[in-house]
Amino acid sequence: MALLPKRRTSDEERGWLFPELWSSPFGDFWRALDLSGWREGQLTPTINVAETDDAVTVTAELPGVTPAEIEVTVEGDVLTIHGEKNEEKEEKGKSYHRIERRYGSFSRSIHLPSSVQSDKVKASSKDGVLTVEIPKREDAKPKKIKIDVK
Amino acid sequence: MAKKVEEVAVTRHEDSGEASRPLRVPAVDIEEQTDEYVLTAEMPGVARDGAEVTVEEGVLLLRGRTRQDVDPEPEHVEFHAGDFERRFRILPDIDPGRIAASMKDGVLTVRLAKQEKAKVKKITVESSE
Repeated sequence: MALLPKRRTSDEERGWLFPELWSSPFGDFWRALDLSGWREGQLTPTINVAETDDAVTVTAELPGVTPAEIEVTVEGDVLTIHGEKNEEKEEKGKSYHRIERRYGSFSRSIHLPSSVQSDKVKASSKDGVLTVEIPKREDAKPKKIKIDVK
Repeated sequence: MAKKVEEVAVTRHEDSGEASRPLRVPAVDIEEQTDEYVLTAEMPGVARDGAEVTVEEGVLLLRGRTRQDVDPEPEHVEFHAGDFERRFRILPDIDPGRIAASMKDGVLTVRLAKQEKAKVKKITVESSE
């Protein structure tokens, strides 16, 4: 698995006494994210990662890729989005005036935090945007304690 | 070969009252076929009813509106779900009345038919004898 990104060391592993001020219960997730994922000759889809109390949502821009051409896999704690973006061929004496779009295989891998249930990944694609939702473990969800005001 | 479809300066619409939403420039391929030009523009997140194609005074305007309900605010951001916009000037060999557009998987396809006169006509040389 040499292609996969290495997890960065956490504050605890570094032996730091004080973790970063903005550390959240899921703080390590953002440090562990592989933000490059770049491989030669391959397209790297841009992704956004959002987090709610219940789930982590990864969205990837894949314009021109049909849902059937996208494969989402989870191996261990690594989520991989990959597939092939094909050019619609219309071979009949055409010439190009402008080529800005890119075609070929694409791949992107990110580490999932331990707070999610990686066996319950849901993926859907619409209008060239892939949405992958990974629910959090029950014990990782923030608990609300209601305090009666007397 | 002279470019038949060229880009006009991309401008922001300050008067639209939506200055907070970023405007993105879609990546575009333009190919020429025997009887038409085919332009494809990548607009991920734009549904069919969010796409707008207009021709006015020789300028082709492509617009794509993404859904407003982007929730929640992403913590790791590599793309901004803004609207798309790009303009191209079309030259006289394109028939403005025969422009067709379709949207699929976040890609807008615009087919611009050539004027009849722009097509290469083959004239048979008749023998005078």
